[in-house]
Amino acid sequence: MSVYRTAAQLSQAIATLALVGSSFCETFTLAETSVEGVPITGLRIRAGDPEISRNGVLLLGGVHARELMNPEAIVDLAVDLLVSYVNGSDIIYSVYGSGAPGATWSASAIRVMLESLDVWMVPCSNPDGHDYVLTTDDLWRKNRRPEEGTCDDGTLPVGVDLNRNCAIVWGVIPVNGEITCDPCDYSTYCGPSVFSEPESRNIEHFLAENSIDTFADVHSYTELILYPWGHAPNQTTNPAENFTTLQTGTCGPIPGSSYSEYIDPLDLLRLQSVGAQMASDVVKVRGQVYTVGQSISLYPTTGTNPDYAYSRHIADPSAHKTYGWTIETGPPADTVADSFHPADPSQIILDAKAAMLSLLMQSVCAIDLIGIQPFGADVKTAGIRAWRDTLWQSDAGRAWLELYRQLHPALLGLVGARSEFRSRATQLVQTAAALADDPASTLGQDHIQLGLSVLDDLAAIAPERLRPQVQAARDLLQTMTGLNAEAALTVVTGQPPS
Amino acid sequence: MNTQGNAARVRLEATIRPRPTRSPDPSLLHGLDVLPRLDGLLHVLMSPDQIAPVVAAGYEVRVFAAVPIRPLDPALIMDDATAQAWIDDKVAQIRGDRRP
Repeated sequence: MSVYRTAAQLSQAIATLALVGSSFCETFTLAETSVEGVPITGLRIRAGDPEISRNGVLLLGGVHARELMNPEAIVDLAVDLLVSYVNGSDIIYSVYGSGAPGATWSASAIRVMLESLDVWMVPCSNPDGHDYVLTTDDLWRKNRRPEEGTCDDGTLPVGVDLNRNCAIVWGVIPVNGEITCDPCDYSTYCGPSVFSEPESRNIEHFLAENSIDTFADVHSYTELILYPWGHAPNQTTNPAENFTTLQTGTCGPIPGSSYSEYIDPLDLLRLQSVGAQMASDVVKVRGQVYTVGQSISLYPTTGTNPDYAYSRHIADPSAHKTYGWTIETGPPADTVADSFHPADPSQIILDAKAAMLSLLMQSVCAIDLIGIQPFGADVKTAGIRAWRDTLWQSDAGRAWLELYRQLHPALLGLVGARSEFRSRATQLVQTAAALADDPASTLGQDHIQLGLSVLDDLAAIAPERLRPQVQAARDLLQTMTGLNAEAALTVVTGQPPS
Repeated sequence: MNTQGNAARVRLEATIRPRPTRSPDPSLLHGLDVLPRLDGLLHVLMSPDQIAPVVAAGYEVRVFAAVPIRPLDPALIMDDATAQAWIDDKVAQIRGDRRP
């Protein structure tokens, strides 16, 4: 069964999709051609009102040439999104006989998602390497940059690992790290200089020119969902111990055996919780368990795309913050080749699509959406974000945020499907924003009733296991009459939902 | 050390672990194509000429497969007609066309 496309065929597929969905899709070309001069194209989906501000999501595939399933999965996901949006159909990823329930996203949730996000998809970011796998060496990983010199066996060194070439601790070799400065290395040569390769510079340019909030770099294999950092253990207590102090390009280890990299604790929680939801959605497809962990748990790395994406706002506070994950699709198979490009990748592609769609869904901020876009309201939600940050500080608060996260798909579905619900939700967000902005403002009985009605609608379609917690939210809300925002937050942070 | 591995036209799939009697030098492992661990062991693709230095550095290398350097199985690659038929089918789904 022929299942893998050439780089040109992948490019042609997304060009065709852009034509078919021309009212809301377009192709784009990354800033630089590949080493061998091939244009690298992607698909942007921006449905609905083109003028509204949106969160941006980047899905990147094919960085490592031999990982052939992922370019296919990204093109496949684009098809599914277009089919759902145009036909108003749900997206269901399931495998008959697996015993798993299947992962489902309602048509209304997909519509809301596509009308509130910029979805950027680059299926094949390393076309030279991709085609080299098809024509010459099926386990090739790097790009096809000819390097200077001659290797010991008389061959000419070729290629740079595009996931070791970015400006994040570039050219440093952590202990047991999977990176080298040897151009004759078959797999993980970091390149002669930072961003030496046009294919990795494309990521640099793209992130600089577009506001990308969430980014998934899709690789294979091992069934992992990884978040920063790759070069050192995470720590959340000493912001001064961070990568901006490290010398790069040393081709040696990070000095000091106890070095740990700072990560903002709220960012860490978000990276972990979004990753956990991706894994939770993947397991529904056919029962495959994707493990969520810090990148270094696979092996230490430097210069990777997701770490670079997340590091930008730290290296330059004026840069947009991008949360980055690596998705490692597929289990180990009997052979290495089958692990990277099995003869039948269809079920692994379902898992991959579920993970990416889960990330897309979580990239929508429902509160922003209800308050601002595209339903005519104009609510400033900064005060509500400040509540969120307060909630993160306590165990009970984080439990409430976790409940909200789990209800998020149902909430988006209701917002997309029912104008009457949307109207009440908008009122609720307006009320919350007013409370957040005015310390003297208090919750009245009408506010409580409004909140209860929204919760009741959510409870009606929420997964059964969440209903006791929604009831707990109901019970707590009924105790809040007359409280201002600060007092209400004190109540919430003092009592978890279960 | 040459690690490009193209001259031999074959790579070896292997697991590597320290020999108990030696203090191995992990720097010699740089340059191996490290795969996800196998049974908890370091799991790599390596060229034949990489084995001796790694063993000399204090490791035990267990080779269990020869992996020829070759193109992807042509049967797995779509030809242009198949790729076009695939996208035509998807376009029909997007447009809601009835399929026979």
